[in-house]
Amino acid sequence: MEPLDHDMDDLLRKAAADYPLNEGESDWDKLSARLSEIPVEPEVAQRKNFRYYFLLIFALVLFLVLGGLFYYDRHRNELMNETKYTRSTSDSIQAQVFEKNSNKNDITVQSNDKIISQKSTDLVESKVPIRRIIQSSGDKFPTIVKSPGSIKNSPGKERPPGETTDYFSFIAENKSGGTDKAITESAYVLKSSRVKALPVILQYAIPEPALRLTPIRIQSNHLQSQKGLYIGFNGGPELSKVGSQTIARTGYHVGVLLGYRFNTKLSVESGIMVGKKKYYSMGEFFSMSKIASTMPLGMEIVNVDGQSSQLEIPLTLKYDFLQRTQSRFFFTAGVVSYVYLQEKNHYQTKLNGVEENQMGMYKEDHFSLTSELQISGGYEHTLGKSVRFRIEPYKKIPLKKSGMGSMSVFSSGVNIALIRSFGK
Amino acid sequence: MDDLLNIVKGCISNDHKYQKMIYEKYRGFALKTVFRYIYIYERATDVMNDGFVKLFQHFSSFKWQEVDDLEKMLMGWIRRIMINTAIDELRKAKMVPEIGGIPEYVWEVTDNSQQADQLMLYKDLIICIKRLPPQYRVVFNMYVIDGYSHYEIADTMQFSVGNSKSTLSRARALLQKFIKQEEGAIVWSL
Repeated sequence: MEPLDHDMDDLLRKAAADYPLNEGESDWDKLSARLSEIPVEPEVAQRKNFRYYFLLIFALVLFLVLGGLFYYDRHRNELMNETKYTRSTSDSIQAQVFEKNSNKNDITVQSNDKIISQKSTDLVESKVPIRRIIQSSGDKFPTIVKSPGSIKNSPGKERPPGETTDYFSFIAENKSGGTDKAITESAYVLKSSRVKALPVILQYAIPEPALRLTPIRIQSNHLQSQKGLYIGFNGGPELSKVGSQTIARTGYHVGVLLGYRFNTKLSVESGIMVGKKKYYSMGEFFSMSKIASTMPLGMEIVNVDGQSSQLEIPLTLKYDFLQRTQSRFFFTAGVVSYVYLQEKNHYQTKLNGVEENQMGMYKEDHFSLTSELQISGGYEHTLGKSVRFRIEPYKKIPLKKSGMGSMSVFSSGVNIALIRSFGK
Repeated sequence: MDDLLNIVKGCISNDHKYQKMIYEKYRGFALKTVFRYIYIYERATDVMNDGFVKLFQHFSSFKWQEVDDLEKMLMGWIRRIMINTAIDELRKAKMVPEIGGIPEYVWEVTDNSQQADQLMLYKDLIICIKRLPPQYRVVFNMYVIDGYSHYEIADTMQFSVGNSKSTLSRARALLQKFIKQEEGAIVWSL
């Protein structure tokens, strides 16, 4: 299709000057009356559109908060991997320092009051998974806490050339045989290559009456250990209706979910989704205030069948009320903000008794903060180490009227999500 | 021209007699200008009257140099005020696209058969322009018909020059599509 050329522009200019318009009756009397009054010019408020700036700041703050929490969580894990010692709260625990002769497999153990040498042949290999270890404080006389765990430098095992001892962990008991109260709930594994400058802690069995090392088995809970950031994709169908009227067609929304788990029960979630709401309404529920000036005088709306496209930004709090090994049940509550993009309405109109179908398409860049209240309940199931599947029926209740017709649109639907955790 | 000069001076003095003369003389021109921007006929007449109120309130700011150019400058000034008033009205309605057709009573019926075809063509072209979405319609009218530059359009509409150019380009494409449809309708009716 060739663009309009200059000849066409000239023709259009002639048309604009000479087209046959009915000028109607002179309205001078009304105009004169207006001119006789004191002229007051209405001010056109020049408002900057702060909505975009607010949306940008909101997204930036959310990103910084979630990123900071993620970084803190990762950094704390690294700290725990690099440092190894803490002073026990129990005075009966013997603080011990271990040194390893890097050239040999012999291990020298030094306690507060004596040195114990232990041959590497006494190293014990355990098959019980490591679960609980100590936190470090960098104290001079640490408490070594030993737990059963597989070690890779057990005697007789061939190690690849150049590879040093790999991973170790400990849980210790006090002299009285009780469990060290300093044992924390967090687990980590030491990497000896990180501690070349520091004494190395090795797992071993010491025939030393001053120290009793007893393996402690700790139950693991995959779900409970997923503290931290998670991200996922979610989406699903959505049904919308205006007030208590009929539901016309099925809409949808799809997008990205971001969340942060604080503890075993509580998480906060947000994200961004693209959605389409489809609705039907009788004319009496459709407010004409925004579009009256765009319609011929006297035109009425009989009904409207419409759809709106928008970006959704939810912010919800999630509470896990029932947890099992591989699954959990939860409910959430929060608010949803919208950026309205486009609205398309098919109107059935009546003018002077004649009914007609009209269509209106409206492009919008309108941001509505906390436009809806969202409540939901659902079920999550673990698929792998860090991946979960979620199904979540929800209900959205409008807090504000929306759209060209200023209608209260209620929505219900089901969210199906695949989520990956990045926490410990 | 002397008469017009006296009328202009009378309007500057806020003499209603001369204001009425200006109103009656240029009402058709003002309504044709506004109706290219405002879709609904009744709204266009209201906007035209609003424009004349502004015109007479600020007549003292109207300046001219040569008396010979007085009418041209006056018509240019009236057109500018009418366009700004129409754009303000569209902005109040947030550039919402209008619905409904244009009733036949807004068009003037001509008896002159020689001019009838020409006027029908002009009418169809104006209808095509009016079918454009409000923002496209404003940019197209300001640039092609009223001779504004993209900088002036961007300043009036409070968007970028690039936006003005791209809007004009889309308006041209859409207008061409409407004109093709009208051509097809005319051929079919023949």
